[in-house]
Amino acid sequence: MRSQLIAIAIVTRTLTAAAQPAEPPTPPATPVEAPSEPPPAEDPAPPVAPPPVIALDGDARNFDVRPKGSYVRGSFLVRGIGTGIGVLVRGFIWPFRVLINIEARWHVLSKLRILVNDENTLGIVPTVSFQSAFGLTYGARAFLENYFGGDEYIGLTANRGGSVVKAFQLQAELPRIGSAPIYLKSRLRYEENDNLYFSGIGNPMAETANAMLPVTDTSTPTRFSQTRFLSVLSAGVELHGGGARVRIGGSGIYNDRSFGAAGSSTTDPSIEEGYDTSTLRGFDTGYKNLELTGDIEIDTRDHRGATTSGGVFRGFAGGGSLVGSAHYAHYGAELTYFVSPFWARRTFVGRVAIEGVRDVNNDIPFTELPRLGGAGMLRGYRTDRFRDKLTTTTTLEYHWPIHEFVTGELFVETGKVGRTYDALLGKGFRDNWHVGYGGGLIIHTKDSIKVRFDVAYGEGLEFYLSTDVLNAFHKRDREL
Amino acid sequence: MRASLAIIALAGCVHAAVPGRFADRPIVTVSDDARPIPEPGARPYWSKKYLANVLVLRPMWEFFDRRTRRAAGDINAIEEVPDSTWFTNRIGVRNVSPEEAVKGPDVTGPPVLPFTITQAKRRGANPGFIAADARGVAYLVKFDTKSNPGQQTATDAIVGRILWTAGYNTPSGFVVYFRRDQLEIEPKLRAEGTITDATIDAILKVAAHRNDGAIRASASQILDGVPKNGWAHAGRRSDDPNDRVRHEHRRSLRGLRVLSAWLNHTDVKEDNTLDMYVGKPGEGHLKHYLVDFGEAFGGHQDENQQRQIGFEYAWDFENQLKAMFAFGLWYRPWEAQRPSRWKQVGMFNAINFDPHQWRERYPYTPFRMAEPADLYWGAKLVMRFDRPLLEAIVKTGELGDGDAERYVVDTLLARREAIGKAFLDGVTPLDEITLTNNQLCGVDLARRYGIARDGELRVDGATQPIGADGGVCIAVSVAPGYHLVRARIRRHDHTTPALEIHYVGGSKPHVVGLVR
Repeated sequence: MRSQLIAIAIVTRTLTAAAQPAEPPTPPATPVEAPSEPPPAEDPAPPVAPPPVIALDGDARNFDVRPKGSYVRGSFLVRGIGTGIGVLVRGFIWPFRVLINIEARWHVLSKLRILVNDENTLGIVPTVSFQSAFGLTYGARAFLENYFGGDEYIGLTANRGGSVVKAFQLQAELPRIGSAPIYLKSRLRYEENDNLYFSGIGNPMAETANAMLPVTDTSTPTRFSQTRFLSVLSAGVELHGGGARVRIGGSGIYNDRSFGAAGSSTTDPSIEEGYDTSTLRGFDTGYKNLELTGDIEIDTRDHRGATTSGGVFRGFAGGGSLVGSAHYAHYGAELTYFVSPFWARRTFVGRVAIEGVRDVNNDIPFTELPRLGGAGMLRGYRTDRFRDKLTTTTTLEYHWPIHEFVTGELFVETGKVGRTYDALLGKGFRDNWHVGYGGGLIIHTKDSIKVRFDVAYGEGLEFYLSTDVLNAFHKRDREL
Repeated sequence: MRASLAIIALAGCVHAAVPGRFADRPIVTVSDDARPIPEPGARPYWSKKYLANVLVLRPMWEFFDRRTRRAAGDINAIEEVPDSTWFTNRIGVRNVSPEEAVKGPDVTGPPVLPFTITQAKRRGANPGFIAADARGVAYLVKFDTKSNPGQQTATDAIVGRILWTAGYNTPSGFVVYFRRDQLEIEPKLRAEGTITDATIDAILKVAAHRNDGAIRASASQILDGVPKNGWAHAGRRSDDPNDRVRHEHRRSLRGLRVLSAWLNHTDVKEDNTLDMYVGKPGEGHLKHYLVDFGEAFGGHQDENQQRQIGFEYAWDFENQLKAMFAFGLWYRPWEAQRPSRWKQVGMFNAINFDPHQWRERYPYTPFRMAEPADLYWGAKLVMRFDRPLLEAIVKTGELGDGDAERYVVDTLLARREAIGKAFLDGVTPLDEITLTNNQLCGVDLARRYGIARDGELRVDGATQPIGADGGVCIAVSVAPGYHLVRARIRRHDHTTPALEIHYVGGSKPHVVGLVR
C-alpha cells in the first residue's frame, strides 16, 4: 500500500502536469452595454454569513477555567489500583514491544526463511517442534513445492534435539500423475535417537524397579537408543464423488534398526537398568524388516479443518517379513464420525480404533508392536507408554467455536493393549482400561488443521502440540 | 474499626469533578490547522507492529490503566467539531441536497475512456491498476471479485459519498464499465516491459465481467498532493506542527465509529487512511483522507467468509474468552448472519445490529476511546441522512437491481434507527440550544427523529414536557452574569445524564459552552 501510494503520487504529478489543458484563448474584451432600463428594485440583501471564528487546533474549547477532577470515573482507590496494574502490565509487555519493533523494522522472521523464493515454491526454512517428555526438536528443511505446477513436493530435512541425536530425511510426494488420480509418496530417513521410551509390554501401571524386570506385564519407565534407516514407498488412487474422497493404495516400509543403552541426557534410567534386554525380541541383535500393506481411506467430512459432519474410515492390512527370518501380519482400522446435533460447530466426535499384529512364534520385534500413548492414541499417557500385540482406543470429543479459526475441545479417551482378543475384548474386556481426559484448542482454517494444543491427564499431566490427533495411523510409516 | 471505616469510605468515595468555566467568546468554527509546514517524510507503517499493538498490547494495558481515557480535544465550546483539515461540517450544519451528495468531492466528472495504464496494482485484496483517462486525469482502478460481482465497486462509490457528505475527506469514486480494447498501456512502460498485455490480462482474469463482456470497475480519482501514508491510530504526527490533538482524542475520529457501525465499514485501520501534503513544498500542509471503502456493507465478511467480522475484533479478548468458557452454549449473534439475496450486497442487514456491540475488524484506538458525547455527535450526523438522500447516493453504486438498491436503503434506514436508539440518549440529546426572554429552548433529537416517544426536560428542578417535534422551552434566569444549569431528559424508563449548559445572561443572553 505504502510503496504503491508513493508511486501513485509520482504518477499523479506526471499525469496532472500532462493533463493540464492548454489555456483557452482569452476572448476579446467586449464593451458592456449600459442598461437601457433602470434596474429592478433590489431584493433584500441575503443574510451575510458571520465570519469564521478561527482558533488553533485543540484550542477551540474556550475554557477560562478547565474543569477539575479526573475524567475517569470511580474512586481514588479503585483508579489507583487499576493504574498500578496497568503500569505493571505495560512493563511486562515492554520486551514484547521491543521484539515487535525489531521485527517490524528488520523483518527478522521473514529473513529466517532463508533462500525462499517469492512464490514460496523453493527454499530453506527452519523447523521446530515439541513433544512432551522428549523436548524440543529443531532443524532445517529445504523444499520444492508446486514448483512445476503439479502440487509436487520434495523436501530434505535435518533435525536434532528432543528424541533425535541427528536425523536426515528425503521426502517426495506427487498427489497426481498428469491428470490421472494416482498418488505417489516416498521417504528415505536416517536417524539416531538416544532417549526413546520403553515401559514394558502389557497394561501394568508404572512402578519403580528394584530389580531386573521381565519385559512383559511389568512397567517401569526406561529409555533406549536406536539407529535406524527407513525407506517408504506408497502409491494408490484417489477418487472423488458423492461428497466422499476415497483413497486406495498400498505401502512398502523397510526398516533397518539397531538398539543400545540410553544416552546421558535423559532423567529416566537406561533400559538395561530396568529390564533384561536379552528377553526383548530384536533389541540385542537389531533387525531388518519389510512390511507391505494395502491401505484404504474413505472420507466424507464436510470440511477437513472445521469439521461438523461426516466421517473418516481408515484401514490397512498386510504382512511383515523380517529379512531372512520370521513373518507377521499387521492390520488396523479406525472410524471417526462427526455430528452436530443442535447448533452449528457444536460437534460431537466419536472414534474407535484398533491395531494388531499376529506372529508365528512370538518373534515380532518389540518396536513393531502396536503402541498406545501420545497425541494420536490415548492422550494423558506418554508416547509409546503401552505396547502389545493388540491395541484399541475409543475417543469422545466435543468441539465448540471460539473464533472462526479457533475451536475449543474437551475429550475423554480410553484405551488398552492385549495379547489376545479374548484379553482385549472378550473375557478380559472390563480389565485394564486406561483413561485420559482433557481439553484444548484447535487452530484451523476451513479445510485444514494448522495446529492442535491438548492438555491431557491420565497417568500424569501431558501437553501435546500436533496437527491431527484424530488420525491414529497418521505417522504409521514413521513410527518406531 | 475506625481504620476499616476510613478505608471503606476512601474506596467508596467518588472523585468529584469541579465544573469548568467558559470564556464569553464567539464559538470557534474553524481550526487553524492548515498553516504552512515543511514537507514531512512519508510516515513508516509496519502492519505487523500495528496489528500487534492494536490487537494485543494496547488492549492489555488500557484495560487496567484508565488514565488513557479523556474528553475529546478537537471540539469547540458547544461540543461540535470545527472545520479542519480532518473534517468539514456539511450535513451536520446544513441541508445537503441529493445532487451535492452524489457529486461528492468530484470536480472533474466521471472518467472519460479510454484508460491508459501507468502502473499495475499487485498488492491488496483486489487486483487493479493506476490509469489516466482520456483527459489525463489519474484514477486507481479496482475490480470486483468473481465471487461477488458488483459488491466492492458499488460499496466504494456509495460509502465514499456518504462519508464525504458527513464531513470527511474522501477521494472521488465512480463505477465504470469498459471493454478490454479501451485499455492501453503507456508506451514508455510497454517499452520497458514493466507492464505487458499479459500483466493486464492476468489482472482482468480475476475481475468480474458483465454478460456483454464489459468489465466493471471502480475508478477512484488520485488525490491532489504528495502522499505521506496513513495517520497514526494514536498520538500525533511529530513532523506536523498543525497536528496538536492526539488522534485517539479527536471527536471526528471517535465519532467515525458510529458511521462505520452504520455502514458496517469494518476495515477501518491505519493503512486505510492517507495524509496528503497539499501545496508547494514548504508552503503546504497535510490534509487527512479516509480511503478504501469497498469492504463496507458486509463485504469484508463475504470476502473472508468470516461472519464474526462486525461483531468481534480479529482477536477479541472479551467475546472470545467468553466463548471459550461458554463451551458452545452461547449462540453468538453473528452465527445467525446470512448473506443477502444479492451478490452485489455483502452480509449487510439490521437484524442483529447492536451499535454498542459493533466491532471493527482490528481495534481502532479512537473508536475504543469514544465516550458517549462522541457517539452522540456521530449519531447526530447519521440521523441527518434521510431516505431521498440515501436513495440518490445508493444509485451511484449502480447495483443494477432496483430491489437491491431498495434493500440497501431500507437497511441503512433500519440501522440508522438502531444508531439513534443506542447513542442519542447516551447523553442528554438536547441540541440547537438558544436563550431568549427568560427561556432556554432546545430540541430533543430523540423526539425529533422518533426514537423516543415521550420526555420531559428537567433543568435544575423545573420540568417541561417535550413536544412531538422535540422542541421545548423552559424558564431560566437570564440575570446578568455567568450561569451554569444542568439539564436532563426524563423518559418513562430512564433519565439521561446531566448536560451542563453554561450561559451569560443580560440583555442578550447566550450560550457560551456545553459539557455533555
